[in-house]
Amino acid sequence: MSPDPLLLGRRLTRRAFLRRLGGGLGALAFGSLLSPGAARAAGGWRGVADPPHLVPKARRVIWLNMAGGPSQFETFDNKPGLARMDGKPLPPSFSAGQPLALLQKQDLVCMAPLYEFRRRGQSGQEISDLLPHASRVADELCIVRSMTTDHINHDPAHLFLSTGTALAGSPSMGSWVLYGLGAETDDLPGYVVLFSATAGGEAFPVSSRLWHSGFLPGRLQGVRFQSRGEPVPYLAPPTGPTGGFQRDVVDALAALDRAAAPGDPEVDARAAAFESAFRMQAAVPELTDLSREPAGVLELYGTDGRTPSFALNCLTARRLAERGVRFIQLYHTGWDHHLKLKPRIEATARETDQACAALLLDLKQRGMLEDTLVVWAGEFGRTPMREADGRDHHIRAFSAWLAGGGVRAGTTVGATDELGYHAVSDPVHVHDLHATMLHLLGLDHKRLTYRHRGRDFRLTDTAGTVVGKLLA
Amino acid sequence: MNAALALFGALHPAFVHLPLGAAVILVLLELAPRAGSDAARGARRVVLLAGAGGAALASAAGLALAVRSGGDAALLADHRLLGALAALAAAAALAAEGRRASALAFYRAAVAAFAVLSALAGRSGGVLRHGPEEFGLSSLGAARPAPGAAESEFRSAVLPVLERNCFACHSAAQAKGGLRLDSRPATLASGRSGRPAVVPGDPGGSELVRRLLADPAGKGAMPPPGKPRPSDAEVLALARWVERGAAWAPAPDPKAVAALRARGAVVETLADREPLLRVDFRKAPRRADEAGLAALGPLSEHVAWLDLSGTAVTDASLGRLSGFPALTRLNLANTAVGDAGLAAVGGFRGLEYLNLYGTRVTDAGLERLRGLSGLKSLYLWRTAVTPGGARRLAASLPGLAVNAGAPPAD
Repeated sequence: MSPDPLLLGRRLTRRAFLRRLGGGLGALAFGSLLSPGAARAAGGWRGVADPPHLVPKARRVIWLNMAGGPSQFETFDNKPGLARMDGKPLPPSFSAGQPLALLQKQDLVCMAPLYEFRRRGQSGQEISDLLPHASRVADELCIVRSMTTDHINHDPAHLFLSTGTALAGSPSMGSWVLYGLGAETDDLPGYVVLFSATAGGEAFPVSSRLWHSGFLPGRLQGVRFQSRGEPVPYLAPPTGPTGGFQRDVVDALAALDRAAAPGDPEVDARAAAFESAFRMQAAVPELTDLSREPAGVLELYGTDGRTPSFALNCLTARRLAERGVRFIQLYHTGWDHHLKLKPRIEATARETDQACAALLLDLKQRGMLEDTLVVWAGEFGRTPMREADGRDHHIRAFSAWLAGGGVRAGTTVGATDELGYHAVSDPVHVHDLHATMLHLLGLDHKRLTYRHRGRDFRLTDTAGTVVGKLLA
Repeated sequence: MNAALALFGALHPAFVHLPLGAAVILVLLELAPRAGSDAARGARRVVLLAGAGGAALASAAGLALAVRSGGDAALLADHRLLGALAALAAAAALAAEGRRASALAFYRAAVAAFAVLSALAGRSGGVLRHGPEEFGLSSLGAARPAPGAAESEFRSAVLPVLERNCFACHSAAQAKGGLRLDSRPATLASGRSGRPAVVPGDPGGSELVRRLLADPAGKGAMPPPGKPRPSDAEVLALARWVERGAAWAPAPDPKAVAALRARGAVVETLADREPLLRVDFRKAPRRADEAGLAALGPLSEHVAWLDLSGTAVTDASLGRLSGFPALTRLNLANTAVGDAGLAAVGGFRGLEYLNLYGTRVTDAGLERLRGLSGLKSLYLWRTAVTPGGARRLAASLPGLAVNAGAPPAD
């Protein structure tokens, strides 16, 4: 057993040692008992890759998670061949032996794309009329048309996209990144999750497993900020105790905890959570105070600055990025268009398109897009076949885009077959996306490991290749 | 008989440690508070017998071993002499031990001599056996090459080879095959082959090394036929330098880094085997004053990314900075910096990224940036710079993208 880097230089207590030995489930159960969603905040944690393995191109990530699985045929993958096949049966050569979700044992009939595609910007990338704002920033995007994943149902597919495995209990990518690079701020959590739901249509619950730290120390876990009311519950200081008194209490608690269980990562997480909460009392109100945003910025995003929305979350994401938060994960549910594709995808596009483009433009005008990696992706895509008036889940090919630090802007990578069923050139598997994202952050996905249950775990498991074509 | 002698000689390393240990114990017994007690005397007699016997045995075995060993003759002679003297000192101590109190001084001198001589003999034996790198006193605490070693290696063994054999075609003047070799970042990038010239730590994966080692008559070998070639020794030195991380600059002085951190700056090494630094004053915005910036001075060779955004940096304090050849990214956003400060900025010739959003700069100040031929991105949102002023600078600096704020929504 190699020494645990998080415990180096500290005394490994019997308790911590036993739990390492006993491994995952025990640690998880203990962690959740002790800290129901509270063991968090990586303040002061420097990261194991200090210095990073490679010169970082991006120093933080904003992940626009389009939950539900956006249709590539209505967004980024132009398939005139599919339009010609509209209403005709899908040739069995495409679907033979392939997994299906809700279309099992049904006739597979092709469905034409709903929107015109046009070449956008100087780069001439093809984007559909559904996304006029993405079209405006086409030159910033690196569109990947050849994403593939392993899981065809939402929950495992989300878990796979977030943690690199469909089994619960593994750390999410944000936790891995904090583990590797540490946090840049002590005043806010290093890893923040923001959530917005579509106004109408289908939505499904997004579980906190998607930003869990798994077998990594609890302080590397993502912290979900609420979109309604206080971003972080119970943060407003109670009336009575002064700041100085609180400071003393937090310090005394930390000293007692650490004296009782030196080097215990879970107790450490607890102390870090108290410290983080103390600091957030000042930092979070400052974060959410939009009064000093320059004129025009709120309009750019399309938010009034109050109503919870994806647009407000995008603005908050930029503010978090400015304040040194390393990994910011946005979820917007509402892309699961089995039925009524046209009205529903138009509603979801209205909720997200402008804000995504605004985020890129706003980061850019502040000079931050060069070292911020922005990723737009859902957990999978949708079928070329119709399911009533919508599309089913599809994992053999879907579209995503990357923008910002170290990304080859203004390019489209990968291609699908003429019906958009399979990724046929430059397929980018979820593991490859993870490897590439870590690479851009200066981390070698093969060297970022954590010893657990007797082996060295990675975000990319035993797979993953850095996709050179995505890199500037 | 020879075999028995050889076996006896081979046992020398087993014997030598007994007298060494005994000598230490004897010294300790003399230093102990109750050195004169009967118990101590009894103990020292036993230990002394073991030490003297061991020394004699080790010397004899050493002689047997030396018959067959090669190695450094002078060092071997030293070792033999020291070993013999140590055995003699042990014998003298044995002779003096147990006599009258008047012999005590002599005894102690003999024990001291025994200890010193056996230690010296032990060291010379260690050097004989394991080589000076691992066992020489001069190398204590420096078992690994010092951080600066790779750099001096670069100046003496690598740069001259590159200058003589490569720069004519692969430098700023002409970058044949899309490849330049005149800076570290350039060597880490790829030419038209798509393979990086240098992969730090991996000579086998480095196109530069591969091409130098390729059959000179074959396709892609470098330098091309007819051009002077580096010697094998020079290529080997180059490969070793790549293996050690291909450093171009010396490692930053840890004291200077600590001093800068003491000023509230975050100082990070850019990457593994990359001696460049990222310095960030955002956590201590008020401390980016003259004293804070002065602490950058000793690291001017190393600072590659400097983030002073939102800090108390002023034109005056910025004006004190000069040099910084490695500085590629400078962020001055949301500071009081104005046109006067840009005079200093114009001197940072390596700049690729310059963020002046939310500063007091104007068109006049931009004129001072005309010498920044490598500048790729300039951020001017929320400044007094006019579109015309930005255009004039962009026209004089090909490759520069100026951002003056997001375009208004349609």
